[in-house]
Amino acid sequence: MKQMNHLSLEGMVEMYYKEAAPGSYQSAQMHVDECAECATAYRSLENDLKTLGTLEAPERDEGYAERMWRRVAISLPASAELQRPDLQPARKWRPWLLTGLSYALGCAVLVTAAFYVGTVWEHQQHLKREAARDAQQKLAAPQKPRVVVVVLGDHLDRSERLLVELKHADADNQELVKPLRDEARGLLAANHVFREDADKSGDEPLALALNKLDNLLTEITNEPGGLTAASLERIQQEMANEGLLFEVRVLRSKNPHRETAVRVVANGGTA
Amino acid sequence: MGNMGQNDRATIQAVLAGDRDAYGLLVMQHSRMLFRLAFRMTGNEADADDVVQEAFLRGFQKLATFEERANFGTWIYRIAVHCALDKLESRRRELARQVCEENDPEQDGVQVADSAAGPERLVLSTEIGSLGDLALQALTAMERTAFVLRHMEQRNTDEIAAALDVAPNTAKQTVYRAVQKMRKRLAVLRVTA
Repeated sequence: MKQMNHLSLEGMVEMYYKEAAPGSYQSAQMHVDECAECATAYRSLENDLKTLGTLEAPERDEGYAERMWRRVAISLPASAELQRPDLQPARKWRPWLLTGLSYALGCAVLVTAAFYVGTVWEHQQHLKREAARDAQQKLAAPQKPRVVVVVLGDHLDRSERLLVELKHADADNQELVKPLRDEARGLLAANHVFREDADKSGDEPLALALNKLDNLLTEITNEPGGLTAASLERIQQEMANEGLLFEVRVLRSKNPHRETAVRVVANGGTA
Repeated sequence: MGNMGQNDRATIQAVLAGDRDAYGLLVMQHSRMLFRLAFRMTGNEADADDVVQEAFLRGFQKLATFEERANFGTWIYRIAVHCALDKLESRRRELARQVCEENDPEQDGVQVADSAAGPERLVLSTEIGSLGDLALQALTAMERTAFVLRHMEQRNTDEIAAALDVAPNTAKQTVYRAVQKMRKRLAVLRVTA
């Protein structure tokens, strides 16, 4: 009789769980009975597997099944029949239809969104181009000066008022001083034009007075940091020294014909 | 068993005909059996309850595919096996994530929990669980399932293969591998204890 080889661990596991075919199981059992080495190994396996036990589950009381049903029932859909494919053939393709419709809807939304974004973008680009073109045109085109009609009498009148206010101005009260500078700037262009006219016409007193006024208005307009106490005091001193206010008053009173002189003046620039 | 099977079939017909509450009879009939299986696979009552609930829910959703000749108990049992496997897998992933976060919150990668216990951890663990419980922790979800079905539920290789959707030989090898791993773990545990 041929002696059987030692049992492998796998064979022993099969034997333990009685998984081996009946003939093989009997042969293995006989070998273990006769072979001390395999018997020891098998007992060790048996011991280990018994140690592993059966992990008994805790007992569930009588109400467990009912509680479980309540848990399950809460989450159940309305009817199991809904999922029966043979009874509801149309439902086979319904998920596909829904999926397809979802994709189609998603694509439509994407296309619409892309079209809208494109339109908005194009519109914005158009506005930017328009704005750039307008800016270019503004830069390229010569700036049209604002044109005002000035009467010499009015100019002298405004100049006199300015000189009077300057004479009595208090540098500490900037709210009153600041408008004087603006007024001087407004008078400067007209004064320049009338001075040139006076030079051309040979009206020396008028030209001389307007020249002094021109210097004063320029000084007030270009005074760095505005009219301070020091600069105002200096201007007042110059006015007193040159008797500018007196000259303007004399020009207004003794030369009434000049008051009708009219010139077109570019406001803020030379005519 | 024959009567029980016939009763189940009648109940299933009623459920499929629209009697939703009839499904409660099936739940009450089989919930304890599923709980025992789920507890053995998951090792704790809360997870086991979740597995039972999930198994019956899936069963209800698939009830229309249930073949009349089959046994509802066997059928729902297999569903419960898969639910328990899913539970074990999600628990493993959660554990791995926790280990990763505890070790290095800023690390992007995911670390896998080390299933090989060191001596200190084993000594501590021995105080809180039986040797068998600890040995089971050495197994993968699939190995644990196969072993539980074989060793504790006394299912044969064909039944295990059917429950796990694998070939019988694969089921047998999985049980064998599980036994090998647990014996090694037991040897370490006995030395440490």
